[in-house]
Amino acid sequence: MNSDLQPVMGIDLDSWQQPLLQADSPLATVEWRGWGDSRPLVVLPWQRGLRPACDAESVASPWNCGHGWRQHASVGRNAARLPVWKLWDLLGEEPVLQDNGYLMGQSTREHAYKDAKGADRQVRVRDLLQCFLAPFRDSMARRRVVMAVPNTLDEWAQEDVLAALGPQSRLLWRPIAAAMTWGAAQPAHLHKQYDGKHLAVCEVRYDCITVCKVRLKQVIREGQSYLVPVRRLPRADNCAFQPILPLPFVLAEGLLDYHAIPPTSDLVWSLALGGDAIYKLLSAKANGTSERACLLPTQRGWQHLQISPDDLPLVVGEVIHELPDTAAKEVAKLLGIQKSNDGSSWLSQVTVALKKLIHQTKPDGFLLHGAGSCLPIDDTTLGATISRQLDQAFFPAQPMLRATEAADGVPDHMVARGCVLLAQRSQLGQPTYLDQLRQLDIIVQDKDPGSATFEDIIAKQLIPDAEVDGDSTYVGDDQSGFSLNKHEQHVGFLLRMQQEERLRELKQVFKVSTDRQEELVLRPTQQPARGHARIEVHNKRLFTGGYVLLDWSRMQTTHKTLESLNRERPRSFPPDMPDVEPDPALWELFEPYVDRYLETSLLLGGKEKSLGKVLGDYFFQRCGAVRYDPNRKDSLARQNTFGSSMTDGLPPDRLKAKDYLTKLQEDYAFAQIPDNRLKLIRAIAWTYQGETFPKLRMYLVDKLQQEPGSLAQEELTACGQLFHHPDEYQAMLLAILDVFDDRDVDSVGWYANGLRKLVTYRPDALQHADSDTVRFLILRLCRLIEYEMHRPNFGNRMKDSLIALLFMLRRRRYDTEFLQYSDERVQRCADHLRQQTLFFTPRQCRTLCSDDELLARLLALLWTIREPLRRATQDANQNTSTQNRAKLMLELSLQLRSFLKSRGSLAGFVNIMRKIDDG
Amino acid sequence: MERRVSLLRVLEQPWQLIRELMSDVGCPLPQTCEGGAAIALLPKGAEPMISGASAGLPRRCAPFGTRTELLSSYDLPWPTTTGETLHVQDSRGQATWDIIQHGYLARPTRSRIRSYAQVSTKPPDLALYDFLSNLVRNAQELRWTAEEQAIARESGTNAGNRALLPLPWRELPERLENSVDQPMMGLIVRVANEFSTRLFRLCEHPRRVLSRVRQKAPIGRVQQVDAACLQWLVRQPGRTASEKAGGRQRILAVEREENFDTLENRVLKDMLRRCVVLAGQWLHDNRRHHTHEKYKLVETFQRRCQRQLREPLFGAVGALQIVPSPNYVLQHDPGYRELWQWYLRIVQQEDDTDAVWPWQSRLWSETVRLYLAAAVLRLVTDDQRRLGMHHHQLWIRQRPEYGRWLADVDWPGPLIIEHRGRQVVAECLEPAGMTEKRKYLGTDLAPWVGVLGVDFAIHFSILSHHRDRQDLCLMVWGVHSSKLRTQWQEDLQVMCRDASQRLSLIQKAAVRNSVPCRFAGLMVLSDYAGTYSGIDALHCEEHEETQVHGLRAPGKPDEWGRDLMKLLREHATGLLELVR
Repeated sequence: MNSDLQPVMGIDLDSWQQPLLQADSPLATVEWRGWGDSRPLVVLPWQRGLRPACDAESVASPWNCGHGWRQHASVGRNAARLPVWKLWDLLGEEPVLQDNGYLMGQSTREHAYKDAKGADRQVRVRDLLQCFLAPFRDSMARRRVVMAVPNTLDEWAQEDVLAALGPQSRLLWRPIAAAMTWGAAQPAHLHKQYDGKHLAVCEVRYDCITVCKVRLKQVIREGQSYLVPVRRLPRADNCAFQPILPLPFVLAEGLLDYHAIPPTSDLVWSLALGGDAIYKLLSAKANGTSERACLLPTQRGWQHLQISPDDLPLVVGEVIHELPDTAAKEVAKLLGIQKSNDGSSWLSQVTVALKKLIHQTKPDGFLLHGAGSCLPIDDTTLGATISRQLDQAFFPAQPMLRATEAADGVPDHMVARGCVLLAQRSQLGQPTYLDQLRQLDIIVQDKDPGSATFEDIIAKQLIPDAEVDGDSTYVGDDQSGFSLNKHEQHVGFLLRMQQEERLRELKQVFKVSTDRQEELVLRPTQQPARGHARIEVHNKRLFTGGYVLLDWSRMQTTHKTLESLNRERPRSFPPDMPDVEPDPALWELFEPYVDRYLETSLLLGGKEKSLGKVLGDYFFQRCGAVRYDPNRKDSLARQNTFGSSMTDGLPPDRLKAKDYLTKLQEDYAFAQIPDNRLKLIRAIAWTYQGETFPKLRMYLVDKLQQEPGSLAQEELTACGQLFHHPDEYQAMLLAILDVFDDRDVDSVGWYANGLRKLVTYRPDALQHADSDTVRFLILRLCRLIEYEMHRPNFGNRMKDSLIALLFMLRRRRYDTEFLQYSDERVQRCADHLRQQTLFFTPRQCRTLCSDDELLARLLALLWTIREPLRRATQDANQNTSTQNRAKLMLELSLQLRSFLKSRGSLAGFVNIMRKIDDG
Repeated sequence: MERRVSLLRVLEQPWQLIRELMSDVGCPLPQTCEGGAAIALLPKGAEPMISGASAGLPRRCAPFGTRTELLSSYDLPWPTTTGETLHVQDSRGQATWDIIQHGYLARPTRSRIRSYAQVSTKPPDLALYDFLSNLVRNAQELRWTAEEQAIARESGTNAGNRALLPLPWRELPERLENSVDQPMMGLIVRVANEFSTRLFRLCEHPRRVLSRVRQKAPIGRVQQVDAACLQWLVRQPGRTASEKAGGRQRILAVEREENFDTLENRVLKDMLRRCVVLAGQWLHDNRRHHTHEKYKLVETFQRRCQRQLREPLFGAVGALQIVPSPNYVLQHDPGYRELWQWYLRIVQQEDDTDAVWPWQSRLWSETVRLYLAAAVLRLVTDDQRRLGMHHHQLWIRQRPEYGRWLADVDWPGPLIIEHRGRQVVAECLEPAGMTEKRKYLGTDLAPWVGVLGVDFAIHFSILSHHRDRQDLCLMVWGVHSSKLRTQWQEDLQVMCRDASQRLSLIQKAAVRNSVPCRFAGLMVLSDYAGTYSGIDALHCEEHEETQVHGLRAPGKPDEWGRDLMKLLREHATGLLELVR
């Protein structure tokens, strides 16, 4: 079986000595490879027409190496050289806190620098990576490659790295690779003990330290136990990053000191980055002693630097225990690295930083590894020294969960080994690690149950942020229920990534006609650490080949957001008015009145007393003070003492509010005096809590059915604000229709008010109404409006009628045929209104302008009649003044249209109204 | 417009900078220079440029001077015609200077070059042109080698067309050491060797087009007539066609004729013509190797080209007046595409020689640098090569920039030379690449190098020396002038003496400033009209223990390349004695 398995290879570019581990058969032969004729340092093109190179000749070249006397050599970040550890920086190793709490690197596609002549240049990061990988190409061609990458690499960077590696390659998170190696080295009897424990995987790299908290999990497969790490998406509580003064610079200082050469920033730069000096001096194992020498220009002439293997630990130990010199600090400043000035040594700075980072993640133990930690120091390694200090600080009681690379029985080069382990286990079908995917949503227009039209724009989850097998590809279930409207000529697929605010779009034009609603089936796939997710959208008729692929990386970034779509996308009209929200500030004002009412007894000596003093005007001013949310001026969100939601409508002091409701309920049961009853009904109405007052609702329904014309204003208010059952809605609408038919328009004001309250507080009221009833009501309302037009000022009746009429059009949501915009009946209705509506008097307009809500509703109506308006502008029989007015009104209606789509600001049409007002 | 000419000083010899600096006297107006490597001395930050040019003048070194005045020096271009006045202006347009240039040779015209192609004794301007074209050919050979290596390295890519291409330094000595027993390489040799077969195949089967013409044809062979032919026919007397055809029985008809006068064939003809001229020059230059295979190859090639040009087919092909834009055939037909590439190379060789004419002094100094680098590279042993950083590559431009093919400050890294048990590091200092504020190995060398107006310097120092060190800085001048060196020994003597006097001033100043460095000089004088009869020994002038050696390089680099490198190597070895 094993003979069929492919040879594997693990790459850890951060390793100076042996970046590559290859195994020709699983769990057997392993072979380490060094950099060979290359160096972990790339020379950037210093002039036009060149390519980046990292072969020994290019790196050894004095060109642009930072030697002081070269004109083009500039000490600083733009010295046209880039070490491999800086490459990860470009790919977004340093995480940035996202709005939703996740940490993610921000990769750059191109690296900008200055060339020999000071001109600005750019080089693709992918080319740089290919340059580093060039020496291993021959081996990579025949092997299954896994490369270690930082834990916070975003999908763009992952795809860049994969593009440089080749299509069959895999990426593995560095902490996971280390944890896998450690887990594989643990005896099986300890697996259960470690199961569920959290391990802080600390990595000391050349220029930073990282901590990643991973959970350990015991997986038993085919009778064999495995200890695998579980990765979560990086967050502040499981991932930490801290830049440090780069080790090559610290070591360069140490080497200069060892050779008694006074360090300057130029010299430190030359040694650390100028050429391959530091690499040659420190990569002892791979290259032998003859290579461990280099030339360096100093104030005292050319110096020949070399160091024996015996002296190296002493030098490293000395330099990390002592305070780094000012030269390294200056270089660090040029590199843009924050450096503390507390005078502590490099080692103590790193230890303190690690302690802080580990403290953030609160693990059960730690695993210390990294290229830096393997450096020899005195008679041990740097990692072991740090580990001892961490152990004393955090885990004195749990010695079993402490591990250090190349010590404590833990193998060295853990990251490269982990990569090979992944490739081998993947082929053998053994468990590797568990990962978490980034959630991916598709933006759709949703339909409520029972609704005929598509309404709110929502994000529908395609890929959950769940725990998945790190080795396998996540293939989501086929998701059906998506459809395209008929008569569409193209579609724009919009996807949203978990941490991205902006959406990505793919536009698809259909070559076939969509004369019916087309069903779509979505099939999401994603593999951990292999870039972005891909969604297949299947429909055999619409798409050539049967499906279209939504590849996040290839989709266009759009300025659209979920919110903007919600504003822009047309839907049934008008938009929902959200539930009234309870406002604590308003409750604070109302609370003294509640206290007073609670202290008052309805019955005094067995006799009912008047509630006039307690439930007076001030009381109702406080409890009925509906206002628009001042923080959300562009929306229709309202606030009051109580909220209109049945489940979440109580003020913050819920106990007192409940006491208040109970007392209202009791008092209503006992109250006999009509005035008291009305006052109580009014107070109850402004609590919106119809569920708490079933008796009252029953009473109101009875009255609506038996004596529809006898309802008092308070009772109509209660009907509008307390009803929430279909029967109740129907009873009220029919009653109002009866009243409108029976009475003259002058005496139906309160009913219009009640109707307005019902349709604005209960968005679902029209769902249960009959379309004919609603249409008749609209016609009656139009008559009322027509009547009101003759008044010099608009009163409440006009306001209530317009708003009610506007919201009655919401019936379209449930009946696609109901009063379409082009419907003749709407046209007739609009025509009927046209003359009056077009000729508002300045005074009327001023009244409207003072009331934004009314204005919005009125203009909504104008939108419905925009066609008559358009005709009016083109009507040659009309005089110029009328035409101009019609033009302005038409413009208003367009503004209105955008408002209704966007719930936008009213400023646009307020200005136009002013124009009308002025002239 | 007022001309602030007093700020400009023109120097004919680079080492005069120091005298100018010390005397602090401005030249009378207008500025003149006579036949030498003219240098303009301007206050720092002037940024001069030739009027009408888009780029500024090339800077020679880092700014230097007294505390009160910092000066920068710039190379001035040679005139292409006699008695030309050079208009130099500040890049900001605040000042202009007129420089009258006397004693320079005018660049010969194409016809003049062709007419004297095979004349043994050439007028000075043509001798100078030949000298330059030899230097250009040297540089182009290196570039072509780099292109071939790049194409072999990155097969299938367009690597050969990059602006800069590398060539390993270690290959340089072998490439420059052309054997005197062999005729020199040249583009024409390569054409004859690599392209002649396909060229003559093209000549035998050139591309043709068929064009329609109306002419009288025997009535029995008429294949096509058109309206014009019919009109002609009806106007003829007679009732039947045979009567209208007259006694000779011929009528007007449309016939198709082969036409070879196409753009690609004009290029082919021009290529043959240029090859004949080039081959003639090459054969003339290498006539002493007339028995060599290469000579015979080129001779045969030239004869075949001439024979082809005499063919009637090419008589009908027009001549090219300018280098045309390639048409589809030249770009995509395999045979013609190759022809076009070789043709461009031949044209480029002439163009490049024309292009470097104004900057010939710079080209000469670059050539000297190359030979000196090759000489020092010969001193490096394998053991030291591993320690050093000299795995460096030489970067060669596609086209010359201010007369130079090499990128600025190119030198094979710090070279470690074993000398009497000590390791000496040799590194090149390019004045243009130095900055006045930076120290080199703890020493302020930039002002010294700049004030002496050297083309470059080679710094020798003991490796890992700690105290009481004494470095050596070898100042190198590549002296090139349009003057005929009839008395070259006297000229060289005067120049070396002059330079050694300046150098001794610098040496004294260095001692005063406790600079641990000895200065020496090397002057390589071009003698374009001279004939080579073995390289001369170094001439030495000494002034107060400061030595300046002089050397004449006559004729073609092919002839003296190997000897020059040998001599320079020996000289460098001798100089190493001064390093402590």
